[in-house]
Amino acid sequence: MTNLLGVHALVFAGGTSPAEMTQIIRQTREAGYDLLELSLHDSPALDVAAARADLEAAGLGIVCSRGLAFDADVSSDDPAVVERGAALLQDSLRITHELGGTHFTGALYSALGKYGRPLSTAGRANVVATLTDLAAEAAGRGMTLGLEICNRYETNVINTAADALRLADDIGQDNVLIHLDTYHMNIEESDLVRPVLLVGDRLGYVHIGENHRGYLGSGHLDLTGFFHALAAVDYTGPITFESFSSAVVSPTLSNDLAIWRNLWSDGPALAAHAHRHMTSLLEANRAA
Amino acid sequence: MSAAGGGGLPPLGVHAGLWGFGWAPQQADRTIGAAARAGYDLIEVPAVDRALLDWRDTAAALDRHGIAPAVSLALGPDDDLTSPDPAVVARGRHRLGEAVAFAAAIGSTYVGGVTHSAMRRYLEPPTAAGRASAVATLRDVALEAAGHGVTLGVEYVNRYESNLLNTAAQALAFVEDVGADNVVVHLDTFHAALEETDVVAPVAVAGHRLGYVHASENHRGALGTGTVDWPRLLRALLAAGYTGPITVESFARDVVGPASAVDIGLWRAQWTDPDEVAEASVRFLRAQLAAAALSLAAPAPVLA
Repeated sequence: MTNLLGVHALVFAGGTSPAEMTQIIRQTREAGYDLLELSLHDSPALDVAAARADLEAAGLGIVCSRGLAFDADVSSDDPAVVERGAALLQDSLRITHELGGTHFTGALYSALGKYGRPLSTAGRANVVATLTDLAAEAAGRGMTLGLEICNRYETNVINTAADALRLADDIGQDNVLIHLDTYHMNIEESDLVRPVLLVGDRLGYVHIGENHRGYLGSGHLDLTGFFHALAAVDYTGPITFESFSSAVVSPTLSNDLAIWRNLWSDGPALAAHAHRHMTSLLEANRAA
Repeated sequence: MSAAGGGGLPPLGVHAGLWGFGWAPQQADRTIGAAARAGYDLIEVPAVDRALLDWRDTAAALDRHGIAPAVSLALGPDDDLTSPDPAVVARGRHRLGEAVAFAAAIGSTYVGGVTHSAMRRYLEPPTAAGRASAVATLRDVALEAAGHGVTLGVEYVNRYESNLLNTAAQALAFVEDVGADNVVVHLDTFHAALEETDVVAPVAVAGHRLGYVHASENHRGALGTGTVDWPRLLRALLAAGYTGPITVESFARDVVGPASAVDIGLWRAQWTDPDEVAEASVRFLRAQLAAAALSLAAPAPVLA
């Protein structure tokens, strides 16, 4: 396997101002990663051209992610709310492309939050229609969309691999792939192995996060079993480490993600450890 | 707790919400009867406001079906002890007092649940003032509960259901600050699977302050269908000398009704027949407990 290893920018800094981007890109490279995942919740602060130049100089790839908001949500029944969500997605797809990325992923189908009602049939149809359009646009730029499966407190649209495959089937575009995240899988799935086997060659992106989103190995997740399953389906895509602590605060995303506890305070040390941990699991897979 | 388990093992309970949260007399009687028929020692019933429902119906059904009660509740945004608004805190204080009075009336010695903050998706971190308000209020409730012989349980829940208490360490510190002998830590394995190092860590952390356990899968479906390491958990509980209840908690979208399904975040049907799940879960837990007891009784291996 030749998986690229990535790390989420919120391990290093809470925003995407020019100074923060310079720091994030430097620390991503120093921790040994191949690519950076940037959440576009703070995109107005981002200097896209400068960030792209920094990424290229550092030799790093870029993946962008985002969730939507309740007033800009493509799973809404309200056409105006859907329209605002679709506009955010179009804008984020463009930024991803301008940064040099080919992969745009996340809760592209939903607000990131606790819903006060179940998903409606009309809302789901709006997701399918919006993402079908977005996928066509992405295909024209040689880009891939990821459907990140999130837990019940962050979306009511897709909580399991089976849900995500049904949604991807309904969208019906080859460049829409499934994004598994071990943190969310721990809340929703029966184990960490069967969802990987179920998704198989439609797996396009992977988040590795502990059950509490702290240091890898400081929780109870069966990461060995999960990495074996990745090998079993010959997954060669990116594997990105995600971890959050109250020590690095985004004014918006930290509260959206319910980050109340200080699980670590040294982002670069955490990132270097996670890189060693994931590399070790991949090496063991190759030796098997 | 007045319930006792077999063979000196912890009593096994079941959360009434398995059959839904309605507590009108007929539904309460059906639920209590179903729990007793499934073979449980104890049923965890919702705290009802005595002004709205007659506690005698619950007491009579418990007596009729021969099963012991525990009482639980979850505070909400309107009666959140961590609120800066004294009127909101006062409503929480009143509700907890009512829960204690209801428990005493129906013969329960336990009131637990989300008794410290609102069970809701907070959008801001907790505050020191909010925590202090919750500690002071529970100290007051604990004194009242002691007069009724009732123990108060502080159930820590995951980050999406409280910003105040997400781990056993936080819950223990909170209970110690309340500083009353009749206040205990309440462990729920669904929440622990999300927040803790592993599912047995909280048993060691809470120590003798652990008073109540919810047995719940990582995804809240039927016991044994998820990733919770039951052999390890049950060995740890028995080895620690835990004798409190172990209460099954699993909820299904199509059983609890639309409003509760939204509150709990149940967006898919994980099972449909509560009687079947209740029976399978008690069989599962009894077998797991027996195996755990056996493993602890086994002689240590002799090293050559």
